[in-house]
Amino acid sequence: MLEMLAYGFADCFRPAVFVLMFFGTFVGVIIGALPGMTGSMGIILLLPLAYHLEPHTALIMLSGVFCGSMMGGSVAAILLSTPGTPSAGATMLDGYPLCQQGRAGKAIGIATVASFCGGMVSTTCLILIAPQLAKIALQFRAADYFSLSIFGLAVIASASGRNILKGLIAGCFGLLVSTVGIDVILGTPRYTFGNYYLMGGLGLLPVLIGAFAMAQVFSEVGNPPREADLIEQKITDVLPTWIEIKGIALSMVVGSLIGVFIGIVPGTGGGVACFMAYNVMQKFSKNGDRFGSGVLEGVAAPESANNGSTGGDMIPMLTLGVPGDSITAVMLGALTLIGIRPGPLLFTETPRIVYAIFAGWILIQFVMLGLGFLSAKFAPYVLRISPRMLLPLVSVFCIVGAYTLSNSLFDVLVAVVFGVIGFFMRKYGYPVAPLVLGVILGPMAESNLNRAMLNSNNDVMVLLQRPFSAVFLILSVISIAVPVINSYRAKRRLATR
Amino acid sequence: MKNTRRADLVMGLLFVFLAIFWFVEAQSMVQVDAGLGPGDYPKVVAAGLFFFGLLLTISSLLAGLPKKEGVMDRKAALRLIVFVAATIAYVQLMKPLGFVLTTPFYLFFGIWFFGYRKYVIAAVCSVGMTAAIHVVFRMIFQVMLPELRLL
Repeated sequence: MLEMLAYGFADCFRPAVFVLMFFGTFVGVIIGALPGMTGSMGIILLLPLAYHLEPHTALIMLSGVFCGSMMGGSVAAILLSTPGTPSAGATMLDGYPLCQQGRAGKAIGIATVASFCGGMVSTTCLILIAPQLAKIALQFRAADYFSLSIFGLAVIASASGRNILKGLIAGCFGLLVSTVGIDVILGTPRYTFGNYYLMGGLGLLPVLIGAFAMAQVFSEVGNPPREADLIEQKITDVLPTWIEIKGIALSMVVGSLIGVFIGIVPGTGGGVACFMAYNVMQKFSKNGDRFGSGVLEGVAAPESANNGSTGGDMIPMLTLGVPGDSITAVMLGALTLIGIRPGPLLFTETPRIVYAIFAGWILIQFVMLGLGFLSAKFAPYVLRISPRMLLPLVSVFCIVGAYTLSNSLFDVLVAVVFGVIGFFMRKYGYPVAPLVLGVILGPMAESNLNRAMLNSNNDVMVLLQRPFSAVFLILSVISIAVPVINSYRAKRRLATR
Repeated sequence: MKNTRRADLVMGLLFVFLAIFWFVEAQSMVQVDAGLGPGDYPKVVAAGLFFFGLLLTISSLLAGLPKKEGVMDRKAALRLIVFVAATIAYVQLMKPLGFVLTTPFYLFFGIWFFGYRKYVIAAVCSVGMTAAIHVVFRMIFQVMLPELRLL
């Protein structure tokens, strides 16, 4: 393992790879800092660039965006009282009061150190756990993979919104969309309606760009965004002192471990982790009663947790090919586009890519540490960029991004159409992540179901006879049933009151 | 939580009809003896969508429809239609006129549309960003963005 990791570091220190890793992390910090822009959007906007790179270089750059956006979100939370990303929601609770006290620099410094700590703990867990899980996953057969796809969809549908039914509908709609084009088994055109452009199916990149990024632009059209309301202050005193670091050490350790655990559990992510870590530290810290008034621990706990979740999030995605939340769903789409098929075979067939990712993930934490301290200087300028100017620019990037994949304006129109679909889905409470995951997992589910049926003479019971498959199907039912039962109980409790 | 029961009913019915259409289309596809035919998997997915769509329709009917539901105000809807139409027009015009000629106008329109009123800065940014995107994609990624065609 250490030898492979050394090769990974050698790959990452190649100038082009290192520059792109730095660039990805920088873009992530900026995107994360801008309210309304998420890490998913940052990854999507860089996909046209990633598409032209070597797979592991592209993946390291996109990992930089992922980790950078987690940290960047805290900057807006501290300076604007508006979390740049949902994962920085809890950071705002103590970060903004610190800013009001004229200690914005200190809050950003603590957020940076805590993000680094969370990132390092989660990377260590990623390196230790992922290969072991991949070894188990090597025993999977076609029926198991089909059930795993169902499990992935069930988990993301049940976790990505308040209404599970809408999540399931979005997932089925994604699977439906994936059936357009020439069928993978016999080569029969399906749902093409004689249109030549539909023969290749609806491209993943236009769907991703449309459903996530263009839909975001369209959602802002009805209510144009306001200019940022920055508190004018000179940001100084960014570097934390040794005493301050000792004071937040426990928060960072607890936050990091909570983050890793939450990250590994499918269907959760940084948004849940940061609030959980904040609540735990509020209960157990000796300064718990002062949380909310500008306590450094109140910044450290959520920031270490949301960055702690990044490596955890990647474990099921890399080893099983099943993402746990929307940003890893987008990452999965990105990997598919750049020619990497996540799953256990990735670890046996292309270990060099895997360990380059691991090494890159470690280096990204150091890059993020440097950029985090620097962000105190450049973030106020970034936050002054008018969102009114940024949104049309995002729209152009989406259009160019959709075009670059196959130099086709048809793909651009697909992105616009999915932008409108994504807009209505957001408006009426349908989560977008299951739609995208359905489009990604659809072909995999179909080909594996076909193989399972061929191997079993069309006996559907094979899905329940294989132990892994049966476990995934049972877990799928549980992951849908538990939130439904909880919601029913909550409604009854409310009615009896 | 915003009340969207009327919209849920409409969307539920829409998904039910979409599932029926998908299923009927799949019926006419080739059948095979072993494994899945081209229409089998779409039928399974359509059945799932039909079931969940029907569930949404029934649950929104059982919950009772509100008399009035402010799902989307007229002004916001109109703004969305205008912006989407402008985007489609931009994409269509890009083919004959090229990226460099159409993008500054689209960007300027977008910036104005989102409420930015410093016109000189908006114009400079529109032209500057178009040039930057063109240079990056053409020189670095060697992607041929649509160009002006005289014939």
